[in-house]
Amino acid sequence: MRESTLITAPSARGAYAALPTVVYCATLPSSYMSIERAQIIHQAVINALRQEAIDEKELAIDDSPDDDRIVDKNSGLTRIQFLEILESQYQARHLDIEARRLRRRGTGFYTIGSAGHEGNAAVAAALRPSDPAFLHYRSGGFFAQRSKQVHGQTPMFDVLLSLCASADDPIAGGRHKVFGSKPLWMPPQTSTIASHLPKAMGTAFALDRAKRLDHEVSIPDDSIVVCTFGDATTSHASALSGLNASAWAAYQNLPMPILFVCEDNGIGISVQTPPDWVERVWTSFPGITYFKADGCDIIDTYRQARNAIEFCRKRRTPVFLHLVLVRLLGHAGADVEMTYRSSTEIQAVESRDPVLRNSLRALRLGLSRAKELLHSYADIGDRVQAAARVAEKRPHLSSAVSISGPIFAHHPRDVELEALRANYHEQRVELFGSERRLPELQGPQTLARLINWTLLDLLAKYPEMIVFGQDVARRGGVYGITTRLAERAGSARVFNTLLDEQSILGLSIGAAHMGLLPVPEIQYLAYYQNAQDQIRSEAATLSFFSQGKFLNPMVVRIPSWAYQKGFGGHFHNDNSIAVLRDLPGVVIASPSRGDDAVGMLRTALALASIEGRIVLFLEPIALYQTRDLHGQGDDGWRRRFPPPGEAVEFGQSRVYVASHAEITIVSWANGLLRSLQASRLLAAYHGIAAEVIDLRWLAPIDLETVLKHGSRTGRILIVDEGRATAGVSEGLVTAIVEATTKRSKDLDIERYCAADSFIPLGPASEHILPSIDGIVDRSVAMVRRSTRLSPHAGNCTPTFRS
Amino acid sequence: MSHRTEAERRRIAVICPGRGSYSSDDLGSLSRPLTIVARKKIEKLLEATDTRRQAVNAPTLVSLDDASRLTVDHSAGEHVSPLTFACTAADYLRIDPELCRVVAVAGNSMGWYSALYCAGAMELDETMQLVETMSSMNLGVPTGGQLIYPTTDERWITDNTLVTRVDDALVFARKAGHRVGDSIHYGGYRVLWGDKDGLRVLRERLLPFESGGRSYPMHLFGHEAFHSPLLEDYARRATKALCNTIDWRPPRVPLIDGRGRQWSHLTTSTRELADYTLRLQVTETFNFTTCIRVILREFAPDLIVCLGPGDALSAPVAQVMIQENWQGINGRESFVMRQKIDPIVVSFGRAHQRQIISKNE
Repeated sequence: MRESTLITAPSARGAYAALPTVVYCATLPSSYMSIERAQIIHQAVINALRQEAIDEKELAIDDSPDDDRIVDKNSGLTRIQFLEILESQYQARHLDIEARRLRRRGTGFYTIGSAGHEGNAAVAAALRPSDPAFLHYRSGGFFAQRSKQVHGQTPMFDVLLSLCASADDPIAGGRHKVFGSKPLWMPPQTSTIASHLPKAMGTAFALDRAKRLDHEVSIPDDSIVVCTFGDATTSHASALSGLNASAWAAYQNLPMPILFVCEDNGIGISVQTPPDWVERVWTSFPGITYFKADGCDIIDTYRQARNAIEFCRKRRTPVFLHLVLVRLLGHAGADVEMTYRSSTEIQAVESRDPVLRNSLRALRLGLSRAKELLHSYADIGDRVQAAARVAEKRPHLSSAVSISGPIFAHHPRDVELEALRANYHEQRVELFGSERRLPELQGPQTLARLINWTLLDLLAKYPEMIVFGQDVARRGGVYGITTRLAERAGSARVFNTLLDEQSILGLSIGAAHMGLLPVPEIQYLAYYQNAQDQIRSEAATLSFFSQGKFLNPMVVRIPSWAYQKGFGGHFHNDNSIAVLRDLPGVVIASPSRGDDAVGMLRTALALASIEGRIVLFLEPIALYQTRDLHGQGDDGWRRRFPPPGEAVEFGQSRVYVASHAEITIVSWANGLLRSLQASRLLAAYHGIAAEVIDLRWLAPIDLETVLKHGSRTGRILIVDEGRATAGVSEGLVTAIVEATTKRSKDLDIERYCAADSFIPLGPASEHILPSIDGIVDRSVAMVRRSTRLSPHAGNCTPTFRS
Repeated sequence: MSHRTEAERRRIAVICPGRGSYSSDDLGSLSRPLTIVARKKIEKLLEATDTRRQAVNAPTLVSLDDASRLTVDHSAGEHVSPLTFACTAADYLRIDPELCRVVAVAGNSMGWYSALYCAGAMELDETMQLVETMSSMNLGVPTGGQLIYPTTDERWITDNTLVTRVDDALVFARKAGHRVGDSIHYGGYRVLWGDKDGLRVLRERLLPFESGGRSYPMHLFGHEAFHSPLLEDYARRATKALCNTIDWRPPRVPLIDGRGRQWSHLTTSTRELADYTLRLQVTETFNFTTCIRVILREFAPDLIVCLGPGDALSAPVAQVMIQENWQGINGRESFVMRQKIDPIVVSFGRAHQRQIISKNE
C-alpha cells in the first residue's frame, strides 16, 4: 500500500552531490530554466532523505514516538505540530513545482511561488484561523497550514484551480491567482505589491473600534490582523503608509492589534536589499515592536511568531516580525535568475532550502524517520500531480458577462427601500437634541449645512457608520461639513486621522471588513489622486476577485471642483476625475443643490449597505455657502431639509424644464448653477428657451434622459467643469454619438472597447478585450447596415446641429 | 503474473459503509473467495469473535451470515455492526494491490471504525473490539432516533426547496423546545436525529413524498440518535472503556473523517485520533458529503471503491460528485452513463464492478 513513486533519483551523499551544472540552463528558454531549477531543489530533498533513510536503517529508532513531546520548551511546539508545519511546507513546495509543469503544458497561468518562503506555515500555526490574514503571493505554506485549522478545506485543489484560472476556483472564480478564503478569513490580495498594508492596518483598527461601539464582529474580541509582505515592499509608499499609520495610532495608545510579517529574502526581483536594512529601520520605529526569526527554521519561526503574536494579542499594539529566509526558483517562472545571480549565488541560496533543512532537522531531533518523511513528500507530490490533471480540465470563464458579473451586486428595489427607510426617529431626536431641532423643521439652508445635518441624520440611521479624516472631529473638517458631529455622535464614531489619504482609504476598507459603514472625508480631490490606488486596485476590485464573498462598502466624501474665485490654486481646485471614471462598479455622485445632496447621500449609504458599493461623493466646494440662484438676495439656492422617507433615485438626473425649449444644457455641480443662470439670460436677452439637466450621478450617467430631451430640442450643450480630456463630457459625447449615429445615414460610428471590467487571469481575458473576430463581426454588421439604408430612405432620426 | 507499472495501477479511495448496509444480498458474503492469507485472517477474526459471542449467548457472525434470510437479529446493532465490519474487512482484503493502490480511506458513520482498520491505524481484532464495544454498550437514556430525507430531485441535483424545508423543520422543532439536529450529511440526503418528540415534529413538518419506491421522511428502524449530543454520556463511557485498551497508531494511508479532516501518517496525534473516534464523531454531525468532497478534490482518485456489505454508498458518493460536477458528471443520467462505460465508483456489492480491483472473483 505504501508507495514512493517519485523516488527514482540516484542516491547521493548530501544534497548537492548530484547536481548538474546550472550554467547551461541559461541558454534554454526561461520556462525550461525554471522547471530545471524546480527539479533540482526537488531532487535535492529526495536525495538527502534517501541517504538518511539508508543510514537510519542501522540505528535503532523509537517506533512509537510521543506525539505530545515538546520540541521547543520556549514555545511549547510539539512533535506533531512540527511535522504538521513541515507537511504544509511540502504541500506548498509541490504546488510550486506543479505550477511550472502546468505552465509548460499551457494550462497554468501563474508561477510566482512560495519556494523558500514556506516558513510562513509556522506563523500560520501560531495564529488562529479567525485572525484576519492579508497575505502576499508567497503564502503557500501559510495557506496550507491554516487550511488544517478549519476542517473540510481543500487547499491544494483550490490553489491548482486558481493556477489554472478555472471558473471553479472557490475564491476568485478564475479571475486571479490569489490566496483568499472566506472560511479561513483571508480576503484575497492580488499582485499589487504593498497596497494591502493600509487596509490591514484599517482592519486592525476597526477590530477594536467595533468592540468599543458594541458592534458585533464575527471573530473573537482578542483577534489580531496578520499582514505579510517582502523586504523590497517595505520601501513602497503604501507599505510605509500602513506601517506608519499603525505606529502613529499605537504611539498614542490607540489599539492597533496587527502583526506585520516581513518575509525578507534579501532581494526584490533582481535588486538586492541592503544587508541589515530591514532590521535597522524597523528596530527603531516608535510604536512598533520588532521580532526577528530565522524563517528557514520551523522552530525559531514558530517560537518568535508565538512571542510576537502573544505580545500583539495582549497589548493590542503593532508588531513587526522579521523572517529572514530565501527566495528559490527566481521571482516567477519567467524570471531568468541567471541574468543577475551567479550559479554560485543561486546554489548558496538553494543550500538554505527550508524544506530540506527542516526535514533534516526533524530527523536530527528524532521526530520522524527519513523513510516516513520521504513517503510523505512523495505522496503529496503524487496527490498534487493527480489533482492538477483534474484541475486543468475544469471550466474557464467563458463570457464577458460572467467575468464582470461579480464587480457589483444589483438590487435596485432594495436600495430604494433602504434609502427611503425612516424608522429611526428616536435615534434622530437623540442626536439632534430634541424634536424641535429636527432639521426638516428648520428653514432653508446652504449646501454645507444640509450635508452636515444629513451626516448626523445618517449617523442616527446607521449605528455602524463612522466618519473620519484629517480634521473632521473638533475642527469639523476642512469646510466645517462635519461640525459638531463628534460632539453629537461621540468621538468613537467621528474622529480625526493622520494626514495620509492612503491610510484614510485603507482604514475605510478595513472598517468595512469589520462590518462598519465608513464615511471618510478626503480633504480635496487632489489629495484623493495620490491615494487612489487604495480604491483603484484594492477596494474596487475586492468583490471582483472574491466573487462578492468579501465586500468593502463605503461612501467617500471629497470636497471637489474649482470656481473658488482663484483661491487656493490647483490643489484646492482640482477638477480632474479621470481616475475615478473608469472604475467598474464605483459610483460617482456630485450634487449641486442642498436638498439633492441630502437625498443622494441617503441613496449612497443605501447602495453601500445593501449592495456593498463604493460611492465617491464629490461636493462642490464653491457651492457650500452659496445662497442665491440668480441674484443678490434671491436665496434661491438654499433649500429645506427633506425629511426621512425622501431620497434621490440612484442614477436619476434632474431636469429643469423650459417650455418650447430649443436647447438642452447638460451639467452638474458648479456648472449646473451657472447653466441655470445662463438659461435665464438666454431667455431674457436672446429669446432662447433652454432646458437644463443636472446629471447628479456621474457614474453611471443617466443617458436616457439626456437623449430624450436632446432629441426633442436637437441641441445638446454639455457644460463640463472638468478637463476636456478624459472628463465626463468626453464619455457623454461618445455615448450620445453612439446612440444616435446608429440610425444616421451619413455616419455610422461605433466604439469597440475593452469591457468595463478588470482583467481576469488566463485565457478568459480575451472575453474582456477587443478580438479579431469581434472587429470582423462589427465591421460586417456596419457595412451591411449602411448598404441597407438607401440614400432615399427616409430617416427621421434627429441629428444634432453643430 | 505480469508486473504493472505505477501508471497502470489505479489510484483508489476506499469508503467503508455504515451499519444498516447489510442486506439480504449480502447473506453468505463472508464465504466469498479470498486469498489464502486473507482467508486465514478473516477466519481467525470470526473464530475469536464468535467464541466471545457464544459465551454471551449471542448469535455468531457465521450463523448470521449463513442464514437463508434476514431475521430480527440482523437489525440489532450489537449483531449487525460486528457483522458489517467483518464483511467490510474481508472486502478490503480482496483489493488486489497489483491492480490499484489506496490513496485515501474513509467511512460513513460506523464505517469510520472500519476505515481505521483499512487505513492501518488499528489491527483487525482491535477494530472488532472497538465495534463490539461501541455497538453493545448501553446508550443510557432512550435517545430517540434518526430519520432520512432527500435533498435532491430525481436527477440527483440539489433541490433548494428541499434543503430549506429540512432547515425550516429543524428550526421549528428547536423553537418548540425539542432536541433535534443533523446526524449525517449523506450526499443527497440528510439524516436527522431527534429525541422522541422532536422526531415526531420533524415527521410532521417534512412534507411526505415518494421517491425511488420509498416514502420520505423515512424512519431508520432500530437506529438511535447517533452523531448527536444526546450521546455525550455514552461517549464518556466509551472513552473510559476503550481509550487505553486500544493501541492507537497513526494511519498508514491518509484517513478522512466526518468533518473532512485529513489524518496523515506523518501528522496524526493518536491521542486526538482516539478522542475523535470515541467522543467527537459520536456526538457531532458526521459530514459524509464533505468527507467525499475532500477526497475528490485533494486526492483526485481514479476510482472510489465502496466496500461491502451492501451497495448503499454509491448513490451518496455519486451525489457528491454531481455537486462537484466531477469529471463532467452533472446528474444521475451522466453518472449512470459513466458507470456503464468506465465505472468511476466501484461497489463491492456489484460483482461486475468488484472485478476491476479484485482478481479473486
